[in-house]
Amino acid sequence: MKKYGALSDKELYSLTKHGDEAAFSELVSRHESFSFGVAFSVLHNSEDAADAVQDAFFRLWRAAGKYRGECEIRTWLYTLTKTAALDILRSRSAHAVISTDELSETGAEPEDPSPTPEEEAGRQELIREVRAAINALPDAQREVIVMRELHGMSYIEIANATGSDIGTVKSRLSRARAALAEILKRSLGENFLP
Amino acid sequence: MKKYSCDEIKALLCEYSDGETDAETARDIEQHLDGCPECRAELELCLKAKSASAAAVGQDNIPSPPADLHERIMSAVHKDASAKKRQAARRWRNIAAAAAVLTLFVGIGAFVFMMGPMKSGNSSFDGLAGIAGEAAPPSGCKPGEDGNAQDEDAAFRPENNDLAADVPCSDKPSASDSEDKYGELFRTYGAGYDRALIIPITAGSYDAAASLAASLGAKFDGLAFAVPYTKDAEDTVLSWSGGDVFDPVVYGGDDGELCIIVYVEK
Repeated sequence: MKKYGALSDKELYSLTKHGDEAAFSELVSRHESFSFGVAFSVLHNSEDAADAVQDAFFRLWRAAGKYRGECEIRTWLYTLTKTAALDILRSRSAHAVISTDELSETGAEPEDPSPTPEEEAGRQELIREVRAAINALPDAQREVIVMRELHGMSYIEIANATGSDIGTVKSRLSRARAALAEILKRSLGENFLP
Repeated sequence: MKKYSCDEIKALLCEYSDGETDAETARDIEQHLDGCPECRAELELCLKAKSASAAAVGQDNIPSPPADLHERIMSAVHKDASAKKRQAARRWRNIAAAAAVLTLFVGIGAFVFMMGPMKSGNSSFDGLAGIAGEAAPPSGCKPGEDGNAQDEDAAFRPENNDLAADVPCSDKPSASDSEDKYGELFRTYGAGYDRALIIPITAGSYDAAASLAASLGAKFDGLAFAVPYTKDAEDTVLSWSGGDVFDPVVYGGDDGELCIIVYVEK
């Protein structure tokens, strides 16, 4: 019995090229949540996001024969998922924009299990301010912030997914965070962390 | 240990807080921070901005995928894999049926042409007739017999059977042409096959040649395609054959003389 858990993504995908469904199943297990997060951040609906994820993985399965080992599987999956999600979004005549406006209608769950009403209101205000600040960023900077903070992608993964080099990714993240820090300092003062 | 200026440290703080600096650089940064309150304050600001960003982009609000999502994905994958296998089986059945018709006409035509000087017991025609009737392998080898794969391969080689002696093949293309024309095919498709059955034959069309090979391929549970035959091409294909499976792509010869290469499953 093959030990799929010990194999790298590329090794699993090589086995997939030869029709090994169990190897592909291991890939799905590893990256299902990541792919779902990417889709949900675009679609904000679980069932639609699931459809996009299913479509993305099916395309990944179908493309196994053409894989030349040049990119990481997760990076490729990010692109496939985002494309599938945007296709669903477009089919509903919605705007295909990377935005945090519609994320988290209810706001993040408070980490403190028993905040006071004033503390919770302050936290929600902060989140709204930061969200507005992120939306005010240039597209390229906003994109890398979302990929890093929401999807937990590494610098290399972000670089490959956006077609940039790592230096550019670092620069955009750094500028984005510096811009956010300035905006927040102006809006809320120095102590703006909940 | 490298000593950084405050400006250099501030430029690295974002990367450091993301855990993206190498271990040595991280140690150098920490060494600097230990003795620099200004840079420590800058790091604190960076961490605050990160934390606020994470909260704002809804890090805590991505729900878990539906419980049946994995099953849905693998169900679609399995259906696709099964459909491909059925498609391949259907293709072989169609080609095998055409091969039976072809072989009958080839046998009759050759018999009429060779009526006078035809050798008795010509194994090439017997072999063809045998193939038409029973999809049997060339004389000298039966599939499934005990004996190692090497012996079976030797029996199939053109120089080791009458079929090759009686049916010359074109000497085109050259080995370098093989590399160009067939290399991409061989490298593109899947795996699982390692033996080659090479049957040189003169046929009126590549469809006929492919059909004949397909009937043999079906017999050995293999796949086949038609290519112009040369000894170099045979050697090249055999050297590439380890683990490659091919769709029955039909590749026409220039002057009607074609040979068949069948890949037989391990």
